[in-house]
Amino acid sequence: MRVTTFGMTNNYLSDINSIQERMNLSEQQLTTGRKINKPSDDPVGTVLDMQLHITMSNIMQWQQNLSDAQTFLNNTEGALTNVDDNLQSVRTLLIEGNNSTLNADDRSNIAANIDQIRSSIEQLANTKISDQYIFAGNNTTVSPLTFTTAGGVTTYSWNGNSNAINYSIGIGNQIQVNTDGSKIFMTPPAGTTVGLLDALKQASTDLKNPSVTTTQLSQDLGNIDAHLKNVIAARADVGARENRITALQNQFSQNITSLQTRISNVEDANMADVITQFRNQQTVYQAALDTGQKMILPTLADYLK
Amino acid sequence: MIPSFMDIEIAKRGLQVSQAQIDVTGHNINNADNPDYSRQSANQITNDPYHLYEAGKWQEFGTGTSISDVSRARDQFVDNRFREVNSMQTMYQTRDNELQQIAGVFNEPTVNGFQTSITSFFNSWQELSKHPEDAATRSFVVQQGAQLTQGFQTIHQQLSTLNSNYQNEVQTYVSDINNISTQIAQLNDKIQQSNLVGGNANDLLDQRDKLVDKLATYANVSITTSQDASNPSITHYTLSFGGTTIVSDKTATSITAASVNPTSGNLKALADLQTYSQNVSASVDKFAQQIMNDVNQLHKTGYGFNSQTNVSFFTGTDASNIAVNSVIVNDPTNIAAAAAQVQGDGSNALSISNLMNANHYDQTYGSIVANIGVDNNSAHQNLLLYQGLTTQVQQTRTAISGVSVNEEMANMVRFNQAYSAAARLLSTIDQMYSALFAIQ
Repeated sequence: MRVTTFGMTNNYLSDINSIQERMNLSEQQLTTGRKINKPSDDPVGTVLDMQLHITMSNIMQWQQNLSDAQTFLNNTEGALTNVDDNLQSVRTLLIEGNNSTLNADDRSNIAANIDQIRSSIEQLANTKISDQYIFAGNNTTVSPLTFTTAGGVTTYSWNGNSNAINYSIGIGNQIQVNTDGSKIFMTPPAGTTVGLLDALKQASTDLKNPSVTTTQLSQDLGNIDAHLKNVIAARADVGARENRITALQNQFSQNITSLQTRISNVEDANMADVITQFRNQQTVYQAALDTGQKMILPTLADYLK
Repeated sequence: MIPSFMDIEIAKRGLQVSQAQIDVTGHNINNADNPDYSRQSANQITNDPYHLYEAGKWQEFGTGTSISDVSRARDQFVDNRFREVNSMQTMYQTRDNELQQIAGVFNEPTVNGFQTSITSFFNSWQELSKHPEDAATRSFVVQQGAQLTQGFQTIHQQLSTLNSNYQNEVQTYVSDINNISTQIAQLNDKIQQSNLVGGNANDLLDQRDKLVDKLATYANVSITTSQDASNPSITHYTLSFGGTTIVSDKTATSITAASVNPTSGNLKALADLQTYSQNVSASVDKFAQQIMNDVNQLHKTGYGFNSQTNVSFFTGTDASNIAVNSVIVNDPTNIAAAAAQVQGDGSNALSISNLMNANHYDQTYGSIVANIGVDNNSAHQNLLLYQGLTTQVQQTRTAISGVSVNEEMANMVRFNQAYSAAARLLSTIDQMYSALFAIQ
């Protein structure tokens, strides 16, 4: 092949150019730390990377939802524990009141105690987290329990509904965070025919009645026992849901860690490799420049004097 | 009898030939770095001999040398091949660059990409499903909605800007092409005139080849030449560009973007890119419409904080004008988070947030971006292939046509020696004749 002066410089330039292009790519990977800087760098990797990021964003949102669900359930749990404790006290008081040695005044004092407890249970039925009533079904903006007192007689009404509040915790996977308050405070559970607040009202009325019978008071105690069982069952249900949340939180934490590793594998340039590569390219580039300096200048023209 | 002074004539011709060769060498050396120059050579022939009847037979006596013609080293086949691969290279170069621009519109894969706007929007509905009573959460959904719709609008705008850029570029190129074809026609005229008086018009041919090289970067070119039947010194020249004859000897025909049908070069790349950017824009429109319809459909069935119903969340027809309904922007209580007329109900918001995964928006969007990436990647691979080919053919071309300074210097020494020798001959003849004339 005939080697020409222009051809030589031309080849030299195009070779230097391609070295620089490769250096530029390495440099981009070094400065961004990423091996995919545009979709064409690795179309398959790009799609995988985007999908991993969507999964990550989903899981982060579910983690957030789980943490909010936990707050909701913790508050429910707290309220139900209070109801439970209060009912235990009522139970003790009723056993105490069902003692034939007590006189009417003693019983009336116990009744006043029970009325006190009833009013704190009324407040518990209207427990709120910021602006949400937690026992109101999904009618969370309205206080579920309202009552009117006429002629010393309190009448209760329930404004909540039985609708579930569900939080999303996975694709097609939801968890109910609320507990139907009407089933705790209003509706009679199995083993009794009166609701919780009405049962308390009944017990207090009976204790205040001088001619109350032991049978009547035993029945009141039976009602309270049935409600205690109901509240304990509700607490167990809340506890079970909290356990499910904790399990999911652990699982998601693990998922996030492994996702981060996968994202890093797809996205991040292997620095050791790239730096070595870049060094090699620098050496080649330097050598090419040195060669060019020696190659391009002299021709026969320099030696013919 | 040898004619008197014939020897002086021979020496003179030798001097002239060497001088012409030195001239051509000088021309070559001075154009050594001119990429469009073809090396020329002054071709030397022996002159016609004369015949003398000597010693009983006819004998030939040489009459020295002369220059038959000055030719240029050029291979038409290599030229064609170069233009062909360079035209492909230019096409892929433009395609590679511009697909990178089109992909850049989506800004993937980065945390600031459009995908983040999509996921953030649907995640905000999950937040709303948990707190439908909270005014701040409602405003958050509106903000995320605005972010999403602005994203769509920006993508649409940038794609249509790219598209109109391509159209403008084609117009610029078309006027350049018409300018070049006119110049070629003018050159053809000069070349034919030069041919008629026996010249080779080497430098004009170089100029014409340079212009054709330039045309080949716009589209596929092909050249047909034929000798005139009646006058063999005239060569007819037809240049076809993108399948249309644009120069025929001295006549140039103007083109428009629609009158040519290029298969390579920048014009082909830009024509393809116009269609491509429109197609991408159409997929984005379709995607925007899908989100708009899906969200609106659910949203209309739900209820706002004050039982407002049958309200669309988005307004608009495609990615260019998609926006959050102004009724909702002005009063976020219109967001239908509830499936029933209960203020605390967030179940419709939950259903809307589920659309993202249920309808696989990530895949729809991902495939838009991935397709551009795949096409860009294949354009880049082809570019590398044709860059290699172009360099190779360019090397062959310069090997044939390029100037080697070493070669020219060696030639210069040779021609210089020949000149000295001829001068020496003249001086010897001079001495001979002096001796002759000295006889008294």
